[in-house]
Amino acid sequence: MTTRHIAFAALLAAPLTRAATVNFHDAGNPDAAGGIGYEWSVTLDGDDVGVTPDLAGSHVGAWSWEDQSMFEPGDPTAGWTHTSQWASITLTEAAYLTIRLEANGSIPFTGSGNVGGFRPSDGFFPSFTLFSGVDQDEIPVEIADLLGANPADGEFHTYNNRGNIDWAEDLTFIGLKENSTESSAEATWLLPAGTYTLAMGSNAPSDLNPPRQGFKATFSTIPEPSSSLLAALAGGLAVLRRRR
Amino acid sequence: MLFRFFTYLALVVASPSLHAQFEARQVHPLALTPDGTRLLVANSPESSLSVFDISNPSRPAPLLIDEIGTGLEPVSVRARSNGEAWVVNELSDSISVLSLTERRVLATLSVPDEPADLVFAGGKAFVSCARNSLLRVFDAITREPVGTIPLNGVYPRALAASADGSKIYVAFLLSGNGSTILPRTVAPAQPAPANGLPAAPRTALIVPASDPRIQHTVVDHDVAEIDTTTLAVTRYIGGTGTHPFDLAVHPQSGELWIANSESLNLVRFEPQLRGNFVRHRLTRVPLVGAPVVHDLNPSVNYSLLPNEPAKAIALAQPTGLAFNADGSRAWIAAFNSDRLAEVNTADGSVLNRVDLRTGGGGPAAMRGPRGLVLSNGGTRLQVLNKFSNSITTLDTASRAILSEIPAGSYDPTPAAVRAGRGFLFDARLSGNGTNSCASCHLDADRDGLAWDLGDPGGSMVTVKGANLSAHNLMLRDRTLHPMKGPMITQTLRGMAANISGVTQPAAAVTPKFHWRGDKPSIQSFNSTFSNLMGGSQIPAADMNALAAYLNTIPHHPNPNRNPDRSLPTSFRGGNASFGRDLFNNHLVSHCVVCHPLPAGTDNNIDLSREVDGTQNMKNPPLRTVYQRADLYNPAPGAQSLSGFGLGSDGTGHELPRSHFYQLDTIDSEAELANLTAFLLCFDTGTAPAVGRSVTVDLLNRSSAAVLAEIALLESQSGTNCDLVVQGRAGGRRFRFAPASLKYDADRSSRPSLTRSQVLDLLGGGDSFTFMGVPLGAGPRMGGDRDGDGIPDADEAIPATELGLIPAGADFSWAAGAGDWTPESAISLEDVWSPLNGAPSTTGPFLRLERPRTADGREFFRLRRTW
Repeated sequence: MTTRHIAFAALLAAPLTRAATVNFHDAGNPDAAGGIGYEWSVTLDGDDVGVTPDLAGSHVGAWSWEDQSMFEPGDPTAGWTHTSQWASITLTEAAYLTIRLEANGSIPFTGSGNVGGFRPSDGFFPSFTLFSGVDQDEIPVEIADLLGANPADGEFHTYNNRGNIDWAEDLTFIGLKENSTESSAEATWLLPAGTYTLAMGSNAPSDLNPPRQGFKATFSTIPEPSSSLLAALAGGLAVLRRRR
Repeated sequence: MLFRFFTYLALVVASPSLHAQFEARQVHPLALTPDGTRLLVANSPESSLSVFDISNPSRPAPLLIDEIGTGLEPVSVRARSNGEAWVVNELSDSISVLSLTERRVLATLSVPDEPADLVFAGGKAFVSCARNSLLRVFDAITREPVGTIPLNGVYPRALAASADGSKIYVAFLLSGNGSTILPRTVAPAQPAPANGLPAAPRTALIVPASDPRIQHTVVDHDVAEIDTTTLAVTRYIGGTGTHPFDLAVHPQSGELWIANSESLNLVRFEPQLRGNFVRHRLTRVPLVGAPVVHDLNPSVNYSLLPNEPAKAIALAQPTGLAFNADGSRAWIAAFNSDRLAEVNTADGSVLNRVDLRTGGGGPAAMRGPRGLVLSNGGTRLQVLNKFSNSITTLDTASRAILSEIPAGSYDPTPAAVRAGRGFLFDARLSGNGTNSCASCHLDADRDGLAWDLGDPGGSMVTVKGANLSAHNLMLRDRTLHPMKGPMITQTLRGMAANISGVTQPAAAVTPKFHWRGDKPSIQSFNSTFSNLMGGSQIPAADMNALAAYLNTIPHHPNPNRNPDRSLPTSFRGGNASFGRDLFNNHLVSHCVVCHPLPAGTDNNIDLSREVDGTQNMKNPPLRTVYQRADLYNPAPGAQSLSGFGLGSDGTGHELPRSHFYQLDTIDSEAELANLTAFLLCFDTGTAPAVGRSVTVDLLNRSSAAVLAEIALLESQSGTNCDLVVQGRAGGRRFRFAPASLKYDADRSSRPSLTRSQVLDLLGGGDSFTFMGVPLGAGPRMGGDRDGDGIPDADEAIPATELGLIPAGADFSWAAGAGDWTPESAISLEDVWSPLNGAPSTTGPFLRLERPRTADGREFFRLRRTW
């Protein structure tokens, strides 16, 4: 078998291994781990795709990623923790992780201001921040005291959207995608296998006061090059072995 | 994040005091019996009706002969007959039907919120219920309710009947003046500041409702005319004035006259309004044609400040109006000026003025003439002075003051009220005598209008705030521009209870005043006396007195709550109890973060952008949302009763989102309805049981409804109110003791009684009224009337002396026995009659000589008046 055949065999094998899981947590399916109350838990392998379904709970507030009125020059920037939505992401393999967050007019909603039975989405300016690790314990006491928070709450009402979060000591800032003009935003990181935290929100211009906005998040991985090469090599070796 | 539910504790704040005064809005506090022999006076502080004998024209002062307990804050009285009077109780939301002959309560009739006035016509009794904008109608004989008349106007109060009783008229105190608010999104930018300050914030603009940019209509309903047979509203009358305080039908022409004030809030900026923002008028409504306005201060030059000649004659806030028999003269009570005025009705000119502040003195000596009635064939004018709680008797021919006597035998008005109230009301503190704080803060409350008191030449103010909505405790400077734009007049009631629901950071949540929190204390409003009223600032001690007074006034209870203070589960399509949970769940609604209980404010100046603001604003309390809702609707083509809505600038009308807020997730119709229900049921700091009452007699004492009402009051006693029993039978008064579940009598030698034992005391012709009173008031109102620690029935009986003189008898009694009235009878079985001669004073005694009777005998006694 030629090298071309080996690569082909590897590509054929990839779809067969996709096993993304995307779970939503609300009162009916609580995230019992403690710490940050993650709305979403996502598990991906190295070549995978997961999409948030059109659930009624898929919505965020206007300035959930960054609210410029909350800080002044020199202050840490901040978003609203409880109007944003957070995902814990587990990568079972090293991969390029692409996150796409976009307006979604198909989120069911029959309350005031609905658009044909769906959440509005025309005021959504998706932005997000990625951290490594997950935070599922109490707020450190010394930080809680400083914030006037209850350590057992596990989370505070605002978060630093552009760096490490003091009250979530288990998270390390990786990067962000800032957007205040478009209805979708996308970013890709090369990540080792492990756990990650994603804060998803909106960065509406300050003169807009939109209500809660429906969204869709897509998580996709493609193999990290060394992993891909190894996988391909392993696959090729397996083929050759069978031929022998 | 996932929602985590927790609830802020609702703090119930009670401020016990010996006497809570709610600044009763008296409307017609005086009345005569049809035979003209009795003057009836609503004694608001004491919650009683004082009955005076005025049958002896040689006596300069009325003679107090009875004091009959009423509900709380009686504000109007009318005599149905010589033997029966109906009293309107503003706080108790009730009518006390009183027997003047038996000196007791015959019945207590419940009516909707804040009843104000009552008039008899066509065999019916019509009661104006101000807060609910309706008239409740009773059969005057049977006292059965016969109907309700919804009214299309704001705050109906004063009533008058036509001579034949076929029509009645009701005046809307907060009728407005045809002004409304142009939202800031439509209004032009403010002019540039005069002194180089940064550009002014974008604000709304007060405009006439006829402005082409206004898409809704604002009704101009000052007075409603009602057919007393059909109970239909036959017409609304407009164009008569902003605040119609009183009205009367001319005895000859049948025309309606209205004593009112007109607010000039279309004038922009405080310097332009200085000393010149209100007119006081008499408006005549012809049978045909447009209303005719008579200015009560036509000679005042408003451009001249200070204007001492004007101060000497000005007439401010005409709250009482009465015609003489032929209608040639009208008498006016100028409440804020301490003056009476005699008006020539032919041309509306003021013929004479009478200064009631005899002996001089400053605001603390204010009388506050509020209501008046002509007696003794029109030869005397009887005037109730609200602030001094006194009655002035005037000779109408000479205009001489014949006497001034207390309106009752005991006045529980707290010293702080007496000392500080005048500074709010006294128009003599203004530059020209025409205005006071109370020109807009009517009875320490609102006027339903917005005013633009910005100052283009003013200074920036910096106040500390914090981003508490974002749970950030860091103190930040909030800079406030002097050109603040229109602001709705705020109530001055309930301020002491507007405590912050949070404590940190202290500098941000310290109480502060005005919509923007730009005043750190009540004392810091001193500049208003000069900058707005055109007078001079007053001494610091006087401002302290004013502040102390204002902190005494509680809110009325919210009538939308259940009688036990709990929240209704069904209210206007919502569940207020569920709404409270939504309100308190800050991860769902976020309401409670800025509007923490108990008052709905943290006193902080928070993030203006979060509420779509263009300038910094204090988080306002929510206690009176129920009073201001549903009056304003700016939707194109909609009809508004008021030109101004819920927000600080008068915009905002849709509950529960009177301001934009994007942080909440309450957006289902059901949840919004629940939250609206809660806001409309917001606790005012005063429990619904306060003022609630039921009258029990021999016939109804076993009634399940009556017993249930008593049980309710007993359950509320000690936590939400005190419970007292007033009336006639056995001991006069009782106070319920929650610990023992017994009623303590007003005589120390009498044992405490169970409820059944109290009711067993009732015999024919007796009645008891069980009434909830403010916490702390129970001991005084339930057995120690003067609060001296001696139970009422243990008080010493005054000394009397009876001597024989050649002409007859000489009866003397202690002059200080103000709550005892002298009486005589021919025999002990006979009817006792008031000794209404004019007594002379001999040392500590009052002395009356009586001529020898035909059979040579006469009995004398002193009888307690209450």
